[in-house]
Amino acid sequence: MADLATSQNPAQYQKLAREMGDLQEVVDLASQYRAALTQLEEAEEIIADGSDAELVELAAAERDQLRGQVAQLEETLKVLLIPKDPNDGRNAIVEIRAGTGGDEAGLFASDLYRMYHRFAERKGLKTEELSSSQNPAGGFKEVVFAVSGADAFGQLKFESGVHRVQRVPKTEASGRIHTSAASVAVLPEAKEVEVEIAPEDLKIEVYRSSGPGGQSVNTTDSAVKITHIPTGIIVSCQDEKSQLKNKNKALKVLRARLYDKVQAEQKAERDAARAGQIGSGDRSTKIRTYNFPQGRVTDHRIGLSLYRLEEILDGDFEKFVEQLALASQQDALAADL
Amino acid sequence: MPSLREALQQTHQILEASGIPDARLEAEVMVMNVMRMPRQDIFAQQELAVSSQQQETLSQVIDRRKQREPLAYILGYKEFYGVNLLVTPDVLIPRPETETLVEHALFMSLMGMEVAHLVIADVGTGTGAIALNLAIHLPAARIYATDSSEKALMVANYNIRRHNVADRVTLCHGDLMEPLPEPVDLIVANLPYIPTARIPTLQPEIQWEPAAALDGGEQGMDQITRLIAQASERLNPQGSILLEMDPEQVPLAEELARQYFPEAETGVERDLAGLDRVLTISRGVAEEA
Repeated sequence: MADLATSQNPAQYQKLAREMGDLQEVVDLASQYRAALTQLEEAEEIIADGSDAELVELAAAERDQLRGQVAQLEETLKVLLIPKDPNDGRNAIVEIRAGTGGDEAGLFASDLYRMYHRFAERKGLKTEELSSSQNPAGGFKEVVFAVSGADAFGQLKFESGVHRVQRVPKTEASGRIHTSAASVAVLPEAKEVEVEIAPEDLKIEVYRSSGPGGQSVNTTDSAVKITHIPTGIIVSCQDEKSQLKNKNKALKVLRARLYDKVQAEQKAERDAARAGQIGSGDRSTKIRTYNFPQGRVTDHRIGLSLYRLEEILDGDFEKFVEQLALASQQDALAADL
Repeated sequence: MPSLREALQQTHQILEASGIPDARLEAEVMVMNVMRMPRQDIFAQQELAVSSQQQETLSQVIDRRKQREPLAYILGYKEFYGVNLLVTPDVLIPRPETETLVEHALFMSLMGMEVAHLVIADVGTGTGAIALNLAIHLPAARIYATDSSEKALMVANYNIRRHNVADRVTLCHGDLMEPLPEPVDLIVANLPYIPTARIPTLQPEIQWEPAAALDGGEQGMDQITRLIAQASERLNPQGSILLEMDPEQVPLAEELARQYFPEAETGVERDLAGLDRVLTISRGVAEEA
């Protein structure tokens, strides 16, 4: 960090500063750990020596306390040494898709959108819609949005999977409870330099009139659809803004999906031996059920049920994130043994 | 009081029933503007109540739109190349194809030319869309923006001030290139290029736009032809011209270019719909030995 070249490159400096901060924490704790171990050794020596009864008593008391300290420091160090997911600090791209259940699923998808939007507000994160397709009943067939800010991806990554809802649909006259679902995928935002996209790999399509276009057409729509030919991934962005903005939004989503694809392939190789880890399940796993009659939300991965449905749908689901992160850590520790 | 969700749905239905294209998208834009909310808030707060005043404003917007008045005129702005521009019935509403023109002008300026001394003319500037965006992305360029309509220039003036480029964009009132005080390195133009007879056959929204900004004469080539004829004296030896037009006009324009700029290299750029859209005429290209 004292290197001149680094000090002139603010991004690099920041990255190194963060790394140093993280390492410093470990180094400090390691020093404390070693100090406690040394003191414990000394106390044991005094007790073994046994010549001074008063000293032995003091040493015994100290020993018990130190044993507790050492155990605690060990635990903390173990957790800190788990390699962090390097993607945690990134911005996130969130995709919500209505699943089975027709209009009701679409409305649930829009409830989830609202939940994440409110969560972002509470956490000081920014949301930006990238693409959406609504169904006539007022819900979403699909919505893709970016969430940016500190650790956006780290906080939302556990949301990937199928969310299930059990309630009486607004449209249901008989009052029967229906079950429908929506799937959520959370991808880390990828930087342009990380995902190489050759221009010839892209097919870019826009709204086309039957005539010559240009001055002869006046529309509000400047939708752009991009097909990544090698992978077949299609992204479309439609809104009233400039075609350029729509093209850039679509590219942003495409980059995230391509990055995610590569990461998933790498992860699959790594995880071949590890089953059942939190967050490693494929995106079609049912992860949560929202039961309206009981006012309950259950996360199936950790078996946690909270009877705070309204608050949770208002973006207050921090508790789940906390517990899932903990469980994920424990898995990582267990796997390393 | 209706919820935002209901207001959106109702607006969508009314617009669709009136035959407005992109009804769903337009309904969203209308509600966004009336409620003064960005798009993601619209969806995250679907149960928000719409006040009676907001309902009234929305009704007025819908009524105007039912007359096929362009949405951009009703709302007073249009986004172009990432920038919000004021639009009034005195100017042509910028089209997405013109973003291709801006992109290529920027590409050529940054690649080939000496950026430090670049002098550019945007002929028939209208809202100032092209001049403004070039000024933003080429900080060292000096730009002249001309138009024969004083009213259009007032709109352009607002836009260049609003986006803080008034110190580098000079507005000139007059016919095509005639008011330019000096020769330029780059001429960009989105001149009226629709054949007169075609205009009444186009969608109703276009009938609200100023005819002078659309009408290119019998073959739509009148303004383009005059510009190419004038350009020779006003373009520097290494200069280039970029002209937006319709695909079927390209061969005619190329012929004119050969006539007035026999030594120049011509090229055609396509828009995102894959249609020939921009003719480039590059003068003084180094000759191969």
